Amino acid sequence: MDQPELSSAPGATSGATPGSAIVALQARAVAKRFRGGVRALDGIDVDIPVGSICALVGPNGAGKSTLMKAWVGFERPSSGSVAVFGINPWQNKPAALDRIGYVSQKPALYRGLTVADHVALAGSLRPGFDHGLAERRLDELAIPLDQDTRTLSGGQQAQVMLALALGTHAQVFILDEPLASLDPLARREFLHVLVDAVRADGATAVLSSHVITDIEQACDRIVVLGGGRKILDEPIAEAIASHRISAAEAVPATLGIQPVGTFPGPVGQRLTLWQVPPERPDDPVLRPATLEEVILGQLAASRVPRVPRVRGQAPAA
Amino acid sequence: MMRTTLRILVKTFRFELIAIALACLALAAGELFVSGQLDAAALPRECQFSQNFGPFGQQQSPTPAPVSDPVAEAACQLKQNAYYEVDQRATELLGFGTALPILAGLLLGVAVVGRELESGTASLAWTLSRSRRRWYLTRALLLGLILGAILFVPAITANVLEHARQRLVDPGASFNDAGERGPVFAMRGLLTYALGVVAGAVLGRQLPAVIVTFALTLALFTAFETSVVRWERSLADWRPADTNGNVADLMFDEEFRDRATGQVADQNDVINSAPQSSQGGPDFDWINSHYEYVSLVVPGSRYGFVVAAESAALGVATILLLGFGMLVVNRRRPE
Repeated sequence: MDQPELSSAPGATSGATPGSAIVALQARAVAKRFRGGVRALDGIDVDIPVGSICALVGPNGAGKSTLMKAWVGFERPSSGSVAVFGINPWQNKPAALDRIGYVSQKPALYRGLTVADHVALAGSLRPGFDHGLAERRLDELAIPLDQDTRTLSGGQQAQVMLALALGTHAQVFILDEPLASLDPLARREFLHVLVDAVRADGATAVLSSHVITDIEQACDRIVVLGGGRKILDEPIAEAIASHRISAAEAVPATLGIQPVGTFPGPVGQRLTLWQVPPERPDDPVLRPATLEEVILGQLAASRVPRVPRVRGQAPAA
Repeated sequence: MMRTTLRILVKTFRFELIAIALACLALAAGELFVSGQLDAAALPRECQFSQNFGPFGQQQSPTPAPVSDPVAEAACQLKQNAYYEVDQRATELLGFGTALPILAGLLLGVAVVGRELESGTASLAWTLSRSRRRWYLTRALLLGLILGAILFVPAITANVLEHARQRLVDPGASFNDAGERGPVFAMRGLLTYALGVVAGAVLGRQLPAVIVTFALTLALFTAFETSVVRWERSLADWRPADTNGNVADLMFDEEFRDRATGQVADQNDVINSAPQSSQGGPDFDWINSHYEYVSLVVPGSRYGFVVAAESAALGVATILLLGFGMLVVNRRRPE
């Protein structure tokens, strides 16, 4: 794949800092407030390096969709800036969209059109759209081209959306909870197609999801958002290696480690996530953390602690 | 590429386009059918007389003179009754026709962008297409052209019907039924279409867009018609009144013109200024010798100019609205 020409496109800003990997998607101090004062993003800084498959994770309302829509040019940040290969999608939408393949949260297919019609439509809208690639992928999944999209299952509709995005040969794919309505097998198939295509093209992908086990298999990087803020931004392997779990909220002080957060474990249990040096040997009171536990611990730590109120006293400022 | 775009577009909007085409074809067929009925019921020359009244309601000689034979007169009366029954049907058909372009424009217009936003397909189209402007212009213009072409069918057949109603008058030089036929008929549909496109783009929901477009259309056309009438009146001249009922001219007023000074006066002023006759009441002979009965009219020969100007105004408004729709689409969230 061609390296992006960061300075050649109008509206291009710096896509990479000197000496760092080239950044596909960037957010700098991005804040977004909606009408009524709802704060979706609160000063987010994110760099998604070229070639990575990044999971964007967080509870509902964390700002995942808003950040993705800002990259696609659907949402304008209230402050800060976003860039796609250094291009601000609000200043130069065509150049930014030219590099993006997007799959929305809800399958957005036209009622009454067949799958083949959608492929033709994509071809008429996007110069250079690869009909053959899209049709091959759909054929591999046994999705009939002459079928009305209304009669497809949710998983098949998601696959059609993915095939249309992949047919663009975009440099970066942005997928907003594409797995939300899929059964486990459909999710697995979807991720297989995505990972194969992205790896084959040397592209980049950002994928938001709540299904951590699927993310763990498909993605190599994770960004956790909570309350509009970035909580974690690391390669998945490092995130797992640098955390441990204990069933107790306290461990011997001699271990010299700091708790990250406590969260509900299996029924009746509370677990504590600990930050440890990656090279730390195993310990009897600590066990390796799963990715889900890392995320839950980080989210628990990011919650604003409630100030206890004593009856008869004014709340603390 | 354009053929594929057109095919997909027509397929996407097939419900609206088929419904509009069927309604237009039904209206056109009805107009042609009634034209045929009018032709069949056409009055023979000897029965083509009408009762004419002068400026003060006095009966004048019918033109041409009615048949004198009572049997033939009764036969004429029957034929006239049959003819006017069909003619009434033609009036109703043309009246119904005025609502059709508005309903057609409404139905198609709100779906062009509104349905995409409501169903979420805008996000697919707006990320696949590099340019929302191109996406919008392609569909808004192509669908507008198709709508215009469909609406022109009943617009033309309404002219055929008009010709059948007024055999001695060229429909291209007559203001009779002016708003119910010809290019103005189709342009009204296109303006409603543009309003629907904008309302759909702004609101992002079809039902609210239909309600808002309907209300805006009523308000806009009321204001437009008021302006058109004012403008047409400015084009009118005082001419000797044609008491034979010339339907080709667009008439605003009938007054009296002083033969000496050329000043126009209304009926009350003329009666008050007239001397009393020997039988009592105003002296009509005096009035006729001093005043000329005149009409403020735009002659039928100016019909083409008026219709072209009215159509152009509607066309410019349509283009401006579609341009505004493009600005909305360019800045809008896709849901």
